[in-house]
Amino acid sequence: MKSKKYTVAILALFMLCITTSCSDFLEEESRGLIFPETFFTNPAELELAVTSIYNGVGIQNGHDRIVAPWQGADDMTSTLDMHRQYDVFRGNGSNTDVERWWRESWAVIIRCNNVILNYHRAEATEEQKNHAAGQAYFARAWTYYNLVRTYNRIPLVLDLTVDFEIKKSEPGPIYNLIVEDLKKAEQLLPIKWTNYKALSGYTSGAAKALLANVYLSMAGYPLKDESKYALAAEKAKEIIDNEALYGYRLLDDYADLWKASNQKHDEIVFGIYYNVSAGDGNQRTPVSSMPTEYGGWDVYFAEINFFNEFPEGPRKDATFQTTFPMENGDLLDWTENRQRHPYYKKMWDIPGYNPEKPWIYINYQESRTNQVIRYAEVLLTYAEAKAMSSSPDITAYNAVNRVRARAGLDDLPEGLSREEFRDAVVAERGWEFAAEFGIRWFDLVRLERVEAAAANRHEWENPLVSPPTKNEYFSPIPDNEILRNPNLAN
Amino acid sequence: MKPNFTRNVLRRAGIAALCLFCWLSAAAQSERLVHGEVTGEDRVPLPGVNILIKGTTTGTTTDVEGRFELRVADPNAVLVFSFIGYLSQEIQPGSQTSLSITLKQDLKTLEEVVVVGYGTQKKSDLTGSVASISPKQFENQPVTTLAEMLQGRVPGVAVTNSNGGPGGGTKIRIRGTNSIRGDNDPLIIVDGFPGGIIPLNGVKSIEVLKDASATAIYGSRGANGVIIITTERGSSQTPKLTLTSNVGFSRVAKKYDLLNGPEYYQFLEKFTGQTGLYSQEDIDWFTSTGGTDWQDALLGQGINQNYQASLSGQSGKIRYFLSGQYLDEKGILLNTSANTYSFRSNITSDVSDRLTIGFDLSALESLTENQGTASGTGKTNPIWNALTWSPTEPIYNPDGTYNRSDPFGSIEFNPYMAQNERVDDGRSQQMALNTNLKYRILEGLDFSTIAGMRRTNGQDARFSNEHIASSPSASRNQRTGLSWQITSLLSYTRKFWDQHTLTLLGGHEQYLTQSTGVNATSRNISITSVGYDNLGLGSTQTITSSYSKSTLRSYFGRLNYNFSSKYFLTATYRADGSSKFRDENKYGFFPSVAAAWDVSKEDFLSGTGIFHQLKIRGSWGVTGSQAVGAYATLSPLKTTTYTYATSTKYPGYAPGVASNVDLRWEETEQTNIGIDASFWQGKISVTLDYFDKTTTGLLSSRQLPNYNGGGNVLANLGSMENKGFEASVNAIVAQGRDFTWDAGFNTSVVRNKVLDLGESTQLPGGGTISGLMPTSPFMTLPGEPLATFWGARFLGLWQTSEAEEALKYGNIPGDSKYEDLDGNYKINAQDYQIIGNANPKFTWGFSNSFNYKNWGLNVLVEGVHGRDVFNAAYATMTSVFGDSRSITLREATNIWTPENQNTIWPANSSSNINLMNSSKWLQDGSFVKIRNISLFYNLSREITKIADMKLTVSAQNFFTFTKYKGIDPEVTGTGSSDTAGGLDFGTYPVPKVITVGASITF
Repeated sequence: MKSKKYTVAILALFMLCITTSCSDFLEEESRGLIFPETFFTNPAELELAVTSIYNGVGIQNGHDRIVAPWQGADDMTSTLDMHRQYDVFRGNGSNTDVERWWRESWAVIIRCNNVILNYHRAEATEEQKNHAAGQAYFARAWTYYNLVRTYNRIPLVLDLTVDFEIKKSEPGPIYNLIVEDLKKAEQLLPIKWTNYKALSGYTSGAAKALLANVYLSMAGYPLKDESKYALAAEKAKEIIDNEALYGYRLLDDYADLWKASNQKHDEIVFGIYYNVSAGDGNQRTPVSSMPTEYGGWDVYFAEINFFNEFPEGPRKDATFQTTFPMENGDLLDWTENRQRHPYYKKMWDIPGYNPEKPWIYINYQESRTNQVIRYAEVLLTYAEAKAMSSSPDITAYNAVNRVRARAGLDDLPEGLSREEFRDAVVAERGWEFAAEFGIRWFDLVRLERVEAAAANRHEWENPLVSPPTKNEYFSPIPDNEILRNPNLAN
Repeated sequence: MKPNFTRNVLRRAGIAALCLFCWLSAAAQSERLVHGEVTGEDRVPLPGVNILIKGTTTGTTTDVEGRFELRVADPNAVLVFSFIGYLSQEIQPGSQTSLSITLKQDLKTLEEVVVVGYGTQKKSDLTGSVASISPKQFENQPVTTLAEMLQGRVPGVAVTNSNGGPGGGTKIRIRGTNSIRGDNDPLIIVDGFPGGIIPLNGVKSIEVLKDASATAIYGSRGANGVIIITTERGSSQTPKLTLTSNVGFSRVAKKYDLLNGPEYYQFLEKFTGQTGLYSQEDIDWFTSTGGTDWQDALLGQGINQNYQASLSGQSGKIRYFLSGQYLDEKGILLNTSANTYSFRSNITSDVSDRLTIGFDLSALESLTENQGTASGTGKTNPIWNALTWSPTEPIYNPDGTYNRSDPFGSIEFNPYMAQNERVDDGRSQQMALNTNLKYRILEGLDFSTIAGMRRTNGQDARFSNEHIASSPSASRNQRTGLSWQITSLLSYTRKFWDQHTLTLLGGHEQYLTQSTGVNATSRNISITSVGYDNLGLGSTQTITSSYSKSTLRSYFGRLNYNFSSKYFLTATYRADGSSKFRDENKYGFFPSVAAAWDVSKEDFLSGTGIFHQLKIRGSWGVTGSQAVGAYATLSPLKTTTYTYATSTKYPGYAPGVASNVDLRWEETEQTNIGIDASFWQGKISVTLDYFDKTTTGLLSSRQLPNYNGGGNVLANLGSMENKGFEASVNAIVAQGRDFTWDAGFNTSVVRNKVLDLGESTQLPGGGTISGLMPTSPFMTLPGEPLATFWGARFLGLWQTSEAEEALKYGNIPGDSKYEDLDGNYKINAQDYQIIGNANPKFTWGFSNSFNYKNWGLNVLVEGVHGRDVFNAAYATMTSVFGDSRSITLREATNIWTPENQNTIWPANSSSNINLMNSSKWLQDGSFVKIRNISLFYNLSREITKIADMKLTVSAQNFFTFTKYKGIDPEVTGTGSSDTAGGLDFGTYPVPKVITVGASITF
């Protein structure tokens, strides 16, 4: 009897095991995850998507290494292998720094595309939607602008569809997209942000300034569409005529641009901002550009002929470190330091930095801002574009002379020809923006002056095996990307 | 068993001669008393041996001292001595009255029962390929992991130490790798529960199921093979208490020959052409001291301690087993350690003749320090940093503070500082409960159920102080995991018509696993003395949390049939439903069939006496793999943050990696043919197996181009095969009174080949190194095995005589030269080709066990041959590129000059390109390691009067024979990945260890 009871009980248990398997046991339950299908419903979600764009831009530009192809210019050089490759025009697809620039640029574009494709779905005010879209258009344009100038022919990607076979686009359509995006961004973005983006949000003024720069690039190599000079001048003028509205001005003292305390100032039209104490530091300051004597990383320092030709004055003093106090009391001239080169000190000043004792260890990252477009560039873009689209009129002279005056230089001589005036402005750009965001390199490329600049090389520089040609104007696409999509090899 | 003809004649002649002699001598007497002693081969008296006069019922048994007396009337009588577990012996005493009989142990292990999926089977009835390991094989060695129990002992099972850190990484692969996805780990079942806590002691048996006939009953979890661990249960009426302790001392087996301070200084000035790099003060320091040997600074002596206690026995109907263990490992790398406390118990009660219930409980707590530094390919890897830091730099500044950075060598922090200040504490608890019930409904019809659950909790805590972080920060991570499984089985066995035996099994199983996590990070902590224990002190705080769950429901059945123990047939079937797949892909179906024929039982062979066993086996079946995590068909957004230059981290959401809703099961079809043969009463046994596996619907991750967001998208694409051959020979080489020698040799050959990758022609692998090697050195290609190395072929350096040709590449003599496949005078991704492979061509293991009186010696040797290792650490120690800034290895100071052209080390030329993805860094990774040598001495209870004692001295991984230039050819920074293996980036090497131990059994 007892065993029968067991049998019944156990068979009941067995049945229980099988029948309790309710039908939804195998349903997938994904708690805590957020899916694109149900996203973009409200302003908060819109904002979350936009923040990811800023995150991408921040990461992309916060590395100790600068963008290696900029080393092709005559304003700077390096002995770091990956940077030296570009300094001697030996850029190649295995270069780690160029691979990172490519990868992190696309990460930004994807996030922008995500917002651009979906922002209209959110239940939000027109203003909220406009702001979201504006920031995405701006960041996408800026990133494509970087990519097209670095790699020239690249894929044109406007959505999130996976495509293993996409082919490279010619630069023309890429530039057209950039222009379209910026035209939208300048309309959609606010002139000033009043919320937590007051410091760092992308603005309408930034979009206009960037658009002026883009037009200027389009007028040069490789598109050489000279009709764009007029558009560049017009766009820059819009800002210059409304300086007060946008809140831009030249700081009185060039040295103030590079003070740690000036994380934000009126000359920054477009900057990339950081906060190191919140775990979001910028490694481009300070040790990145310091000499190894001071615990620095020698990522870039000044080329000698460029330094020698740089006009004396307060700007030169604020740009270069030429004497080097040492811990043992020596004071070395730049010809006596390890690299035998002057250094750029623009990014050296951070809290705790002591110019008397620069060897004292300071952080490898800080909250300094990467000043991508300064108001001075708007002025110089205007000057050049105005001269090239019509003639170097008084407004063009005024624009360049404002920059020269601050640098402690006399006004440009009157009566210069278009080309003479342009060359003076381009030289001015080189000095004003030395070692800043590749401006010098891209000037040399668009004006096809890479070869000439490379010929003017001091004997102490990295030796050239063969002089650069047009092949070295643009960087190869990284090897690992070609392995994923072999079509990019062509 | 009938003797063969020759033997027959000899034996008969012998017997005839003996008979004659007996008859002559026996004529004098009629009935007489025969007495004597029966012992085993170890001379230990055997009590209770049956002695019978052949053909009669007259007989006796031996007493406790093995003695016997028997009256024998017939002078031609034959005495039969028999005892369980021993071979019977027949003796015709003739005129002898005093006999000394030595019974030999029955070496026939064929009646051994082995554990198979959801049941047990007589070993002789097996149709599949199943290898058993008994604790006897490792009991005299200080093993602390499952990997050590298996390593080198089972053909077809590759156990690799992917790093040598405390509680280090090991990878177990059974018959190659089926999946590109990388989840090729075998299913591990502990007492019926998958993923149970692996016992460190108290193992009763380990079974490795290899072919589809054995594994298909596990369906979707069986494709990578199954390891079944059965733990010890109490059995003896007298309680048995065993205490064991081992203490091991470990050291790094080898070091790189690095430059010392003065040599480095001289070379650096020569190489860079710069002078005055160091102040006189610095030069004085490193000239007088030799500078810093960073290897010595980071790699020292490690100590392992292992203490175990176990108690087992039986009391009435209750059988019990209790054990505890404490393991303390201090690694050879500074500031690395692991501690484990574990506890295991089981109680089994035979409630009635029909009902048995059991309850198992085990728990484990482990603590680790800086375990993350053991592997990986990050530049914070401490050993890599030690290898690339300038020896001219001191650890400390004269004022006692850390010397933080290296002006010429590494861009990373002082490796001693970074490792010494690193705080990364891991802590985890696991608890497993298992209840089981077995009930005999009718004779032959059994019902059983196993309900088990496992809880895991983890707390990781990290702290980065002001030495190693820009702003002091701390984080804590809490994880919980729960999994449960309920299995119900109904089995029926019946013997009918004499020679037919049929066993049927039906089962149902449900499995659920769920995990949650909370992570809190705090930055800019104002008071660093609080470490990670007061996150509230940070000015910026980030919190994240996560949840994951997946379920599996299965139905399965098995049929076993045998005819006269000669012919065997097995068929299994399983249906698995998984929450990870959608709609019609939810269920997978996995059948198998197998047959075996024991030829030795056939009349034509059984008479010859050659074979003890000769079984031919064949099987075919399909197993599957889910090979993906939960939510793989979904594409959630990923979290990012940005501060907007404020002190708040604003959250952001970015598109995640693209997903694939059509994912389905990966299926592996396997055919196996095997032979089990044994000779000489089983003194030599041989097992041979050939297998052929094809995996279709290969789940693999395809790297997305960066313009599509990078990352990997999963897809069922293509197919892959693994073919192989396994052989093992076990022999009792010598078996004397005082001396025995058992030896086992096994070897395996596995050929892995990707057959097809769907639309892709190539899939780049992992193992990239940020800042040094952004392009993976691995490529998956159709027609080639996984972990194929891919890169440019290094052809040496351009020589002076080739200056003209070099210039076409923009190079000058002394620059590196690579093979230009497409002849376009450019070296780029188009010139990459197959340059090597990380998989071995063949492997072998050789174990020996010698016993002489009370002494014993075990020697285990393992060989792995025909593989390459990508020595990324070597590359960066010898070349300048990317984040590698100087040369530290002596070998590479032989740089090219027009006068010294016969070298592979380029001059410091701005036109030289040192390619990381190049054959230059591949080295022969074959090795032979003496895994273990253990010498032990037994002190029996008779001598000590209280207990059996054993003393052991062992050496593990003490000798390595290899051409590899790095520290350890076995380790890899890529962990358990199969698409990327054999990448040494200063990975934590496996140390050599000397262990002394003692154990005592009461």
